[in-house]
Amino acid sequence: MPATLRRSLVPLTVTGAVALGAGQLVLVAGASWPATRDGALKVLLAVLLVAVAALTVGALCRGREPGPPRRAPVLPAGALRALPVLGVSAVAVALPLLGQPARLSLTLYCYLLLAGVVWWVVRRGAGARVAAGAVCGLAAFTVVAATAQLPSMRFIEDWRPDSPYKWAVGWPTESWRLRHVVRLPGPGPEHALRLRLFLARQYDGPARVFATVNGHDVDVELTPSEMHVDVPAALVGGASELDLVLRQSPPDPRLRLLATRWVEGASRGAGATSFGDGRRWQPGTFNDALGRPQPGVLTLHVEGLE
Amino acid sequence: MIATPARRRPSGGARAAEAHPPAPAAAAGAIPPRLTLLLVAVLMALPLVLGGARLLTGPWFHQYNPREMSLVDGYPVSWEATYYTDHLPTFASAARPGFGISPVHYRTLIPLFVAAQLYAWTGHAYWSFAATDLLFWGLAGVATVFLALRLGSRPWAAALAGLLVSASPVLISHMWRHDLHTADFAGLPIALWAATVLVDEPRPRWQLAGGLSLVLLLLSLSYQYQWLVAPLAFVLCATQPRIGWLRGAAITAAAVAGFLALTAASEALFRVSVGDPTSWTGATVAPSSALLGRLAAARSPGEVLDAARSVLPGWQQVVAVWRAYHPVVLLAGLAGVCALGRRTIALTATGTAVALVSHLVYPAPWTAALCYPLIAIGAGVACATAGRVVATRIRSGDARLVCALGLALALLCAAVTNLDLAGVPDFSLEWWRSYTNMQSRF
Repeated sequence: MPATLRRSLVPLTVTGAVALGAGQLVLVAGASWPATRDGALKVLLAVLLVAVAALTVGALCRGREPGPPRRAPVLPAGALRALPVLGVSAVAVALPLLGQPARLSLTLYCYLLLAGVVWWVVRRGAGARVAAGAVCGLAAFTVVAATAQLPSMRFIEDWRPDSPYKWAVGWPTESWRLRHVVRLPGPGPEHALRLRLFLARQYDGPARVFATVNGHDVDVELTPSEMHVDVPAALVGGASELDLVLRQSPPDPRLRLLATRWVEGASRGAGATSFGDGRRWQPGTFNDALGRPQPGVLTLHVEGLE
Repeated sequence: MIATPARRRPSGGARAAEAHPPAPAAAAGAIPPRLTLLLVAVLMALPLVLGGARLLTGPWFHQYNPREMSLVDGYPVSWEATYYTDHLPTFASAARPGFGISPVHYRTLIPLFVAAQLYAWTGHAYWSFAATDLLFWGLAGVATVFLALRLGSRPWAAALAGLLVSASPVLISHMWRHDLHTADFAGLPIALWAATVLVDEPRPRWQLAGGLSLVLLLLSLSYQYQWLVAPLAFVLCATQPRIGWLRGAAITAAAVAGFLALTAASEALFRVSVGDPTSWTGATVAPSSALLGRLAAARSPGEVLDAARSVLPGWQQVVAVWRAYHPVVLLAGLAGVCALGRRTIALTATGTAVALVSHLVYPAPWTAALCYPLIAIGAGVACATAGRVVATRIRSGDARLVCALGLALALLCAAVTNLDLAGVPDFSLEWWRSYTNMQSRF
């Protein structure tokens, strides 16, 4: 077997195995196999590019880092040899972008910088031929991306009703209570604090929220995006915990508070938030959109402790 | 990693280098090719493990401040991801962008480009950003290994340094925020390795200055580490006997001048071709204006003195550095740095000085931990050395025992900042709590 082929065998086999494994994971995760010919071609090209990358890394690893410059060789000037490779590949990248000046300039600028880095690193480690291959791989990657036309869209969402990470909770019945306990760092300060809770959406309906802190009634104020519970100094001073209980009247599913999955930052951890009828409490939240309890805490911030 | 292409007869400069090598404290060696491949595979896989685990157990930022969490494709990010998702159509559609490249985009342009290309391929914004962060995170570990070898580490110590960088809080802390800071921060060890290679290999001075200019430009396009690497480049030149401090100063000055010219040209290009930066313009802190602005605003000698005094770091900055690395890692790192000789000591001292001033300007734990690759290299050396010393006493230096003990100590150093994986999130919460721009208690 030729030495070059033999050397390529291991990285190629590893690449194939990784590609197959990744494909299995993608399918298990629920993705449908590319339904279009365009999608299938992209997958095929992606596997080829991963193979090129694996071969390049393999070639780089076969070289030897000389360590400190005891006998560092003088490398032949590489800039001139890079010009044809970078030039031709840049033209290939630019062609699909003609007529799109912003995209063209940004893509070419970033491509040339990255291709220059790839050329320099790979050429030092594995020679000019491998470097040219790596640059061509990068160019193919960029050219395919340059043909994409993905419309502008709103990427960021604040929450989703069925999200396992951030959802909204409400008060399904008149007797429903939401509770959140904050453990204060040391005895409470001798000044008022504000508990800020975050609304799922702006609310201007008939429902009102009533709150108690450590068993005492306190004022609740709604802003377009938040619910503020002002805790007077008399309740805060010397207290070790703030036990907030919220009820709504009349129940309105449009007035909802945001909740989150991760509880590690809460002073009481997973037990910080609970829900119930005021006598029996269940830890976590109740996602009434899904109709089931969902472990997590209300997103809340104590203002005045900074 | 580095092969030997067509060797040429060394120039005068090269002969001088051979006559006066910089004699690192630890004898350096090369990692055998097969082990290099294995090491690269491990270091590229480690971010997948450490990052993937956080998606299940809770990313640091989302644990600390869930109220600032948003969703992209249904998965958690920080709201700041919107800086970058807003520009995805610029790279992935023919639509003319509504606004230009603001400083916040400029300083992340290279990772943003990579993420946008992946998005154009896949149509999945969330996983494109994640893949970019994970890719650069892996490269940071690999680059640290070769940087450590360049600075005189033994191969095993260099490998441990790569592991420690991969497990560093600097890289883990921003994963799944999708502000591309993980990829940005990973640029530092990569650029430091490149700068060291440029300086240490004989080449004409103009070529060295040009190469360093490009390194600084690339750094400015992947966070703002150019302000750290410029002085470090001077230290590298000054501690390279072939160059010396006087020529080193000239080369560094030329590199900075070249970088400034390239920056001006790049900004002009983006302004003409993309448009004026009209959105997210105030989202970054420029270290230069933050530092020099106070001096420029001074009107009397007294005010100048006050302004100069105000940029001198205080005790708070020292405490921030101490906490950002975790005392165990910092002490091990400093001990190892001292063992690596004057060049690494000078680099770490200069880097730490820059970190202290940077923290004054922008009090974030990742500015306090600005020298994280050098501290990790030092910690790798300390762990490997301690392993060797203990193994020598126990079993007269059995090579496998040396490696096992060194690895155990490095894992201990990595563990103290990764205890959130075991349900003890104190370090990760304190990390974000020490970022004064962001307070959360609930």
